[in-house]
Amino acid sequence: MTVVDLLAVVVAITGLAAAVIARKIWLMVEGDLAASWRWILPSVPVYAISYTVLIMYNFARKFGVADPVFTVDIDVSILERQTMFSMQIWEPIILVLRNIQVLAEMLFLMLVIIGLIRQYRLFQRLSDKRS
Amino acid sequence: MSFIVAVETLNFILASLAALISLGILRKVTGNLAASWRYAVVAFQVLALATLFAAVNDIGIITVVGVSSDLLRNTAHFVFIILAFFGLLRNYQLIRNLTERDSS
Repeated sequence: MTVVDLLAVVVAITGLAAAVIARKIWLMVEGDLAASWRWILPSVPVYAISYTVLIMYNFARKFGVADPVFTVDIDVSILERQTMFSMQIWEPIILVLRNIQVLAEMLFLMLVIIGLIRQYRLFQRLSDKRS
Repeated sequence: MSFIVAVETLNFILASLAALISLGILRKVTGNLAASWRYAVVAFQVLALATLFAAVNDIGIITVVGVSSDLLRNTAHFVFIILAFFGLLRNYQLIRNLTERDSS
């Protein structure tokens, strides 16, 4: 396991720990603050999942086939006649994992931005009231 | 431009936007709440950097100033998650103190 892999595992575990804290905050807040946290808090586990997918992708890239398309040759002999079928199989997992990871990261950022905009509006209202 | 590079570039823009909104919130709040939001501003800037490194890596640039872009991306994600973790922890402690004060 390289430093890159080790860092990725630590990030995923810390992400899950952050998700636990986020859930604790969500259980404590109420009203407008709860409404704004509702978007940010589910985003934390989405980030942790996205990173776990990245780890799976890195391992699949390392230990899986290097070429995403591999060929299977099948020899068939019927009544002394030989023929060969060649079949190309697309190894989809490795390519799809990376796409899922970037899309999950985008979903995380979208949830965060919606939550942050709601929190900004809330704090702006509070600071206007105070002044 | 591949699909992954396009999405990573979009993620970079979104993370930069998140950092800007966090900065806006930081200017509205004071005291302990401001301290927890300070973590968020830096964290989103680092996340933007991480998505930038990911896009650079997917374009095919393996090293940036002699360091592997894979390592740079993962280190940036590591710094981001540590900052986000402590930011959330400070927020949690602050809200818990407030709810304890309300209930006593």
